[in-house]
Amino acid sequence: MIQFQHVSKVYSGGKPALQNISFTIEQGEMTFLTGHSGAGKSTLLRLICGLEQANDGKIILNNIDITKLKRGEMPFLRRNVGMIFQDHQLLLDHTIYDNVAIPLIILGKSSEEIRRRVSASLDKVGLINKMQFYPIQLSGGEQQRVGIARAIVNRPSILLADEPTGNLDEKLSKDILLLFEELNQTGVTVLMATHNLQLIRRKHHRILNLNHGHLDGDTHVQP
Amino acid sequence: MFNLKYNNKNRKHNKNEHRFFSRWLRQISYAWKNVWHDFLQHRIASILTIMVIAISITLPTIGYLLWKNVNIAANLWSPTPNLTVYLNKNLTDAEIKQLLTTFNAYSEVEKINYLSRSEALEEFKTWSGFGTALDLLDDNPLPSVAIIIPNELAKQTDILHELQAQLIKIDGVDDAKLDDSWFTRLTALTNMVKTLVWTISLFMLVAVSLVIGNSIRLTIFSRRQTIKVMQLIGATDGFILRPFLYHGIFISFISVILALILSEIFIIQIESIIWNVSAVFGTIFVIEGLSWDECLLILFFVTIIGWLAALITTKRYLKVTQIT
Repeated sequence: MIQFQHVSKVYSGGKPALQNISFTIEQGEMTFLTGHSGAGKSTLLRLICGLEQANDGKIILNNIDITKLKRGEMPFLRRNVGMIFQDHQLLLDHTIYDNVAIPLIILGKSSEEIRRRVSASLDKVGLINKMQFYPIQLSGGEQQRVGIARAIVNRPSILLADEPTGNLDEKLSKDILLLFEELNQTGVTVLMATHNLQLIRRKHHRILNLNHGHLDGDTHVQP
Repeated sequence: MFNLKYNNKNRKHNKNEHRFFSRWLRQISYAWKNVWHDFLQHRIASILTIMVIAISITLPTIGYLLWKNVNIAANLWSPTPNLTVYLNKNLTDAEIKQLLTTFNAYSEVEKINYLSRSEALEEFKTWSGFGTALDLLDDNPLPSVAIIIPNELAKQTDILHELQAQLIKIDGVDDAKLDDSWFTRLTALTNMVKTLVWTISLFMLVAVSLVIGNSIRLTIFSRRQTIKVMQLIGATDGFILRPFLYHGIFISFISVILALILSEIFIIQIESIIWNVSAVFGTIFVIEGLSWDECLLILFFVTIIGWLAALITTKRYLKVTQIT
């Protein structure tokens, strides 16, 4: 569950990025976050995984108010949130296998468990036969899928994706979106930021629309 | 019932402890693998750094060895410093005996060699070659002499000077001369070497920490993408810090080993020269190398410095960086 209560964020320099944002995403829901460039999509996602600090309001993640966490507690928050970046943030001097294994190594899992879970994760994104490759040897879509594999290897309950299809053509974007829908069906909460309205038009998922830091559209209909 | 519960709890606790320990071991081995991987990737740079540190350690080590051997040589060869006490010519034998017991009562005194006036004359005749000239004199011009040999503990310039001052004040003593010119010079010389070695060591210490710090800084710089990703994924500062700490330990450890080998080579080199020189002087002097204790101490000390330098550098970097 992700809950924002009157959250505001102002960057140093006085530019307001988010103003009085409130919404609730239930566990297992799949939601898109849309808006023009600079509307505050990235800031919102970065607030959820503790990369930025909110100036006002509360952010509640699985019943924990993360605005009250100390700096030393942030790593433990991030372990429960899978984050996928537009520029995928892979380690170029490590193989695909090692890249996906890092979250588990941080947790100190046994090599047997790491092998099992990395294989499962890579299998899910369809890259099981490329695990000894280096990121540079893969295409953009495949690199993005490695990023997804890394985000889900630790089985987080929340998956955040910041423009995961930003650099991909339509076919690849659709594949990635399908992958997120599959993951969502296993019970993972997915929040995906995108400005590609074309891609999500025919989907029946909830859409949160940001406009200059304000939430001005929510297709979620209260039952 | 209660007992069973307690046992269960205990077992669970043990299991947790075991899991914690194995997790810890795995993380440590991962960090070491990282260090090794990094070393292989930047082989030339790492080896150059290690050479610089090794030489920085070798210099003070050689200095220390010099001081140690000069000290040994000083103790081996320096003539024992003596106090020569000249007694009044008019003293009777009984009075002289009395005086000698007084001298003996001092705790600094090891032994007294007494030369009566006639013995002194005999010795002067044999040594000086002026024997016939002395016969011209009616009277024996030489006083009786007590040569005081201090014990080991008292063989220090300060103590001997103090003793000399005390002896001169005793009735019946005409004069007390301290024959310590050699001794003073040698002590001054070894002290100078000691101060030099200390100063060089201090400078080298600073140099070593700076070199290690700089090497770590370069490593951090080349791995900042990795650090960033690690932070994004949820690695604690401790986890990120660990490979760099091990890097510092690794570099300083290898450097010390190299430095010890270099010092040993230096000793072997210089030994043959010393052999030739001491053969000319008709004595044998064996140069002493580093003992095991000393090697271990240097190893331990420099490794700690490496660890500390790495810790300070990395902590400062992590404090400054914000994930962007």
